[in-house]
Amino acid sequence: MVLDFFAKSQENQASENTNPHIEALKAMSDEERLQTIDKIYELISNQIYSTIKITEEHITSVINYLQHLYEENKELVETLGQFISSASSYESEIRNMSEENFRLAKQLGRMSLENINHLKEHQTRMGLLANQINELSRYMSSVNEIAEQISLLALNAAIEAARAGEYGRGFEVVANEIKKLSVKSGKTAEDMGKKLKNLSKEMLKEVATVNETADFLNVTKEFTDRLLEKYNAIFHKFQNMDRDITKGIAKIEQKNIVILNDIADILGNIQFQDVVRQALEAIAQKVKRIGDYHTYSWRWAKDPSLENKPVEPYLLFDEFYKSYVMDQQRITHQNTLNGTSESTEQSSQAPQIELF
Amino acid sequence: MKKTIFIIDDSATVIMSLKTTLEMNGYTVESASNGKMALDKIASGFKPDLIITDLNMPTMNGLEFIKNARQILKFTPILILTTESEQSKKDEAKKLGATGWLVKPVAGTDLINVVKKVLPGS
Repeated sequence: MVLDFFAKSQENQASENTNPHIEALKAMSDEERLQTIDKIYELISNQIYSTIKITEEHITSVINYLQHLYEENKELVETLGQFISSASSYESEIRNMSEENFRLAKQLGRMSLENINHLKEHQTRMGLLANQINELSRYMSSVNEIAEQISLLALNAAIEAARAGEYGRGFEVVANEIKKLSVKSGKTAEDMGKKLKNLSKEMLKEVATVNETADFLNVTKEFTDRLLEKYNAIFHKFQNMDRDITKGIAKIEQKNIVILNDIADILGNIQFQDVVRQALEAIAQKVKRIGDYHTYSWRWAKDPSLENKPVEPYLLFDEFYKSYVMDQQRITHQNTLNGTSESTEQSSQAPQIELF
Repeated sequence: MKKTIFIIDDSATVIMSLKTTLEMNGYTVESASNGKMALDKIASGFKPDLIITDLNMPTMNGLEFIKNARQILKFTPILILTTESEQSKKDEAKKLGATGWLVKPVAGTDLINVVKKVLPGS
């Protein structure tokens, strides 16, 4: 019947200066009109269900995006965790190696210091030895002088022996022997003096070598000290790196929690779609109920003998009110009946979460 | 060991959102789309650590489900997550052994806080 109405409308569209719908309505019977209105109620109801379906599809898509976002974030955090773990492992290895190098450098420094101290002792001993050699050289000069005096004494003795004639012959022999001895001791003293001079030269050379070695060791010690300073700076950097890594990990964990909580809250708020679905389904059911009521009332009005009298319309309000599940539905209902505007509607004061 | 949460709701989007939220927080999730299916699963030996159920569902509603489920699972906490706000239904749920009442929509962090309260050590 309804299809007939639309068919007639289409036919009338062809003729000019006529409203096709009005012409079709004129041609309809009361039963056809009633069925048309029923169809309109059904159309509204179906539109509402279709809208619910659209919201479901879109919300499902949003949930899938959020799941994807969560997975991506999880992967990102895991990758960062692995990266930090590797970096931390490398840092640990490098630090261990540096600590070993630091220990070696420290040992080298200690050894250099010990060598420097040994050399200083060596230098002191060599100084003492050189002094003793110098002293010996002075003794050799004294020996030389004594030898010369003995020689002079022997000469005088020989002169006196010659003057004594035959009686001094034996004494002359002794004087000559003493002279020989003085010459020999003078020669020996001269030789020893030369040897001591050479020894003194060698000693000076040794002192120079020791001084060079001491200079070299001092330079080595300076380098080692600088190396230790550098290592201390490196350890300071490592400490900073450790602190930065710890801070970084804490920040990543903190941000990850924020992201997870945000995703969780969005997912929770998505439940509004179920709230809207139930509210729209309730409206669709009421539209159908009004359609049925309308049909029934019309039939009864046309022939009261065929049907029982329909319930009074105001009773529909009670029926609707009893079917509500949400506070908001009840508030809207009461405000509508009381003539209160939508803007003055109050939200439910009941707690959202209640543990028994 | 991961705790298992059983979600019962006739809305696919609600199940999806709850499942994602709970799995993100380390829980294992099982689901059913009405009270009858959920009860059959429990009757076959499934023992979740927590049940979160809707109230208005086809085939078997949440209150009927709690009434029957309590015969099998006497101490498992049961939370009701619903759009329903009628006090008489809340009272009935409490009488039947529900643990708590949550009105949709509930933010994910609030839900997790409630789950941690009723599932200590989770």
